[in-house]
Amino acid sequence: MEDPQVEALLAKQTDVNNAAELQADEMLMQRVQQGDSAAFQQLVRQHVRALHGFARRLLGNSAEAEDIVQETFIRVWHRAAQWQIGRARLSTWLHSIAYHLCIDMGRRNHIHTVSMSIDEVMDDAEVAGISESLEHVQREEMIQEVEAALQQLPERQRTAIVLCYYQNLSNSDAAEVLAVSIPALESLLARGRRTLREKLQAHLMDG
Amino acid sequence: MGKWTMNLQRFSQMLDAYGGDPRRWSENERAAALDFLQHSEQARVLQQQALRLDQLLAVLPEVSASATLEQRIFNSIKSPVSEPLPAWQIRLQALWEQYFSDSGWRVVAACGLPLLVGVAVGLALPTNQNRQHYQQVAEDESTQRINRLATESIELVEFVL
Repeated sequence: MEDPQVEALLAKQTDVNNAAELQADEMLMQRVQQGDSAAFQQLVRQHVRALHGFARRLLGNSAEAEDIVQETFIRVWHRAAQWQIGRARLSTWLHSIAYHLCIDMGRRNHIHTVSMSIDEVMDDAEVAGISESLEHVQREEMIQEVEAALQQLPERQRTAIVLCYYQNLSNSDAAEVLAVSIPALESLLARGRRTLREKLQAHLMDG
Repeated sequence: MGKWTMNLQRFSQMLDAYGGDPRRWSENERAAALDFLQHSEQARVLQQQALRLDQLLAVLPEVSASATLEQRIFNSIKSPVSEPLPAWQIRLQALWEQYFSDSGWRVVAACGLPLLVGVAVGLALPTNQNRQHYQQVAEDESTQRINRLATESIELVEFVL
């Protein structure tokens, strides 16, 4: 890890980037609110990957994640007026819409991905890795195990981890998406990390 | 040192939640935590432990959507508005969403609207005085119609005879 002073500088740079992003989002959303379809297309291009990654990690299924992302943007287009400048960051608002759609889909499907066992995903890894090098297979297996461990977390712990670790949302933004206080978010994160550490203990020992 | 004070207990709680990368730490506490990290060997050990799990979580590759997803989204917006909405309409829409998007208000609106329609219809109905007038007009019209019919019948009989 880098020197704490370098870390502080990096952290400061992140804050500056966030402020610039906030301003750009506001201008873009104002145009979307006026029915500017070109602005909407720009918005989609900017956020589609992040939202798909979010939904994919929550649901564990790429096709369903794509449906969620599509529905999220349809809602954004038709309900653009709901977004208010200064009230919420655009990415937070988008994640919040996608999160609630994932919850609804999860309820309908009983979040089948949660019950996915490590053995199930390991089978896929074995098939895929037959002709590949041992190192690559080991890495694939590790990826599958981390993915399975993540999917086995309770839904809110998984969402908290995904928002903070993979979507890089700030703690206040992640708390807003989950509609919880920051101490409650920290509790979800800590419990999630503890479970992950237990499930992935073998890999942590190796490292 | 920032306005937030840091101790080993809080530092450890922070690592438990956000991991070892300072970019994920709470913005309010980051400066104090980094300062604490510089002066505490124990804090550095804890950070290294947290970073190991972070590194393991980071092995997951970025997931990519299909190439057609963007186009699907654009196509699903059936009737893009070509003309920008006027500012007053956007403001009105925002006000509506702000104050009436709550489901409780929707229930009030759903109950109140039929009530208002009922009152409006009630006010439009004739009063007692009006009703008597309408009755009189109807009776006069009936009498005239009977008289006209009787006259026509007599004329017909006379013509036949």
